[in-house]
Amino acid sequence: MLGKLTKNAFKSNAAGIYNIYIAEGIITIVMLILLLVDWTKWGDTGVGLGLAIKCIASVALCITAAIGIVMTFVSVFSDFKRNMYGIEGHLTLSLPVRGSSLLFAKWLSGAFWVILSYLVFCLAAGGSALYIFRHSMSIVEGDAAYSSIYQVATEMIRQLCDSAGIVTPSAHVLGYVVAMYAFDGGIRACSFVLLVFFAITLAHCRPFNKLGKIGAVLYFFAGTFITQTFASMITKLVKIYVVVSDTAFTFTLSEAEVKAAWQMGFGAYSMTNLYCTVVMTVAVFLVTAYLIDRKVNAE
Amino acid sequence: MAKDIGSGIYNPEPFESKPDTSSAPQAAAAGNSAAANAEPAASTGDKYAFKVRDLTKDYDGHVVLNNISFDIPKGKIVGLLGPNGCGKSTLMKILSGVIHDYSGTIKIGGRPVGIGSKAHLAYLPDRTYFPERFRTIDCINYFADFFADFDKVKAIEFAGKFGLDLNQRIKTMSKGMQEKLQLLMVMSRAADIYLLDEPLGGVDPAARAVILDIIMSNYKENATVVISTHLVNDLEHSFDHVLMLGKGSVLVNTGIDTLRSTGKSVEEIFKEVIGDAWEVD
Repeated sequence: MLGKLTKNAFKSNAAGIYNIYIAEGIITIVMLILLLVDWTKWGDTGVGLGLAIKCIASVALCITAAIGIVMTFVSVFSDFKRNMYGIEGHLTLSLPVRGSSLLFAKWLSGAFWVILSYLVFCLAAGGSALYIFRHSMSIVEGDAAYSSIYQVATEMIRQLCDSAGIVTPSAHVLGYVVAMYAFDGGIRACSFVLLVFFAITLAHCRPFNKLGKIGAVLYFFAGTFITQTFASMITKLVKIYVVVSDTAFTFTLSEAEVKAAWQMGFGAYSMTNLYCTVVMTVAVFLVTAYLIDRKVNAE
Repeated sequence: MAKDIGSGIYNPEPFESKPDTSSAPQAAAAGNSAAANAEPAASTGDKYAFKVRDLTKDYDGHVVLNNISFDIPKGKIVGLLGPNGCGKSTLMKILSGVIHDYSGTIKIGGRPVGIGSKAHLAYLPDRTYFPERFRTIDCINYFADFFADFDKVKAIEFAGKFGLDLNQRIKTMSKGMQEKLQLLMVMSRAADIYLLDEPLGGVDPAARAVILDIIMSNYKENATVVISTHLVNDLEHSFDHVLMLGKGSVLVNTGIDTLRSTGKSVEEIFKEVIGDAWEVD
């Protein structure tokens, strides 16, 4: 049953979102064409109209991806509200399934689309940053110096690490650190989606429904404030880090070791906040599922 | 307080509410599947389709159902009658599990409102509850996915019979077509209980006869069918049992034979009983 619920949740979300991604895809293709065109063949010197168009294309790509994130949010959350507590809720809530199953299916689908929108934005912003970096470096060192994306990315990271005053980690370590931060981002995105679902659900329970539509927004901010404050307090009390070197992952409670790790070309990452986020996400899930089973009212 | 209509007045006894655990183990064991919940309601051994005690529901202090108690026996076609705003739709939403914000205890086929009751109860609301993007075939597949008692072949046959294109989207259908689709979906289930909220509302007299025919010729044998309506005249010959609501209370809860023994039609009694009950407290 969970599989069927998830399938329907994905279909429902996709119906509201697919046009956003089609639009993004078309704009991306147009922007890439504008970026790849050799404008010197059209009489441009390389610093005039052609460069201006390429800069505008890069920025437009980022803006489109950012709009994609906002539209994905709006679509996922409005779909949840309509499907659970609007008129469609008369069907959804009369299905012989548990509230936790309904919530999990919606959550899985919603988190997938939200994370996808993040990834698209990261690709657009990262791609644009690489392009701009390569362009600025090629002016200094000539086009031949950076022939591949890998070379451009490596040089960009080296310069970022230099400016931050840390030793550039090896590609191996960097890969692990990026993967850990991506995992962290994914968990936080899931937590965010669930917190919004919780706020919408609470706004359909008595007496919290008295605030009307603004209620869900207020409950979301209140929930975020409470969970973040709690996580921040715990993080200050208990500091757990993982240090990533070329050979091992090492857990440590020492901030000095973390600072030293960065100086030695290792990566480091705080685990406490992530643990807190996971624990509170589980708690929010259980509370929301309970509300769906026992307290909510379809409109 | 129920009005004394012959010997049909019912004086319900209180019963204890129990948590909805009846279906939990079987649902968990079978991955929460529809089939896991397909145990017949009759297996609970309860002779009543509904047992409602001390049910109260209000909207922001505006009381719609005021401490009502009633029982509905199994296997009856029940007319849920009352003026607009008397709480018929609210009662149906509560029974179908769409509204949780009420006080009182309810048992449906011996089970509390929950997964177990929902698996055996087919609910038709007074509005279209399918997503607008759905096509007819999507609605059929959706019901087939979630209700073990849904007959997909029957639904497809129904759709053809009523001229509904399987690939037509709901947003392109007229209101009448949407109502027909929704009704045929509900009546394609072999449920133990059907809750039909104003199935004749908003349709012309010719369509009413068709809809009534769909209902009467397709519900599962021995099932309980509750039809809410204020079009008493169109339906009174179909009812076995009548539950009249007004002023937040149960005004009448009795078998049709008891009502007819008064020598009056249901509509006459409806007008007489409802009388000044148009206002909700």
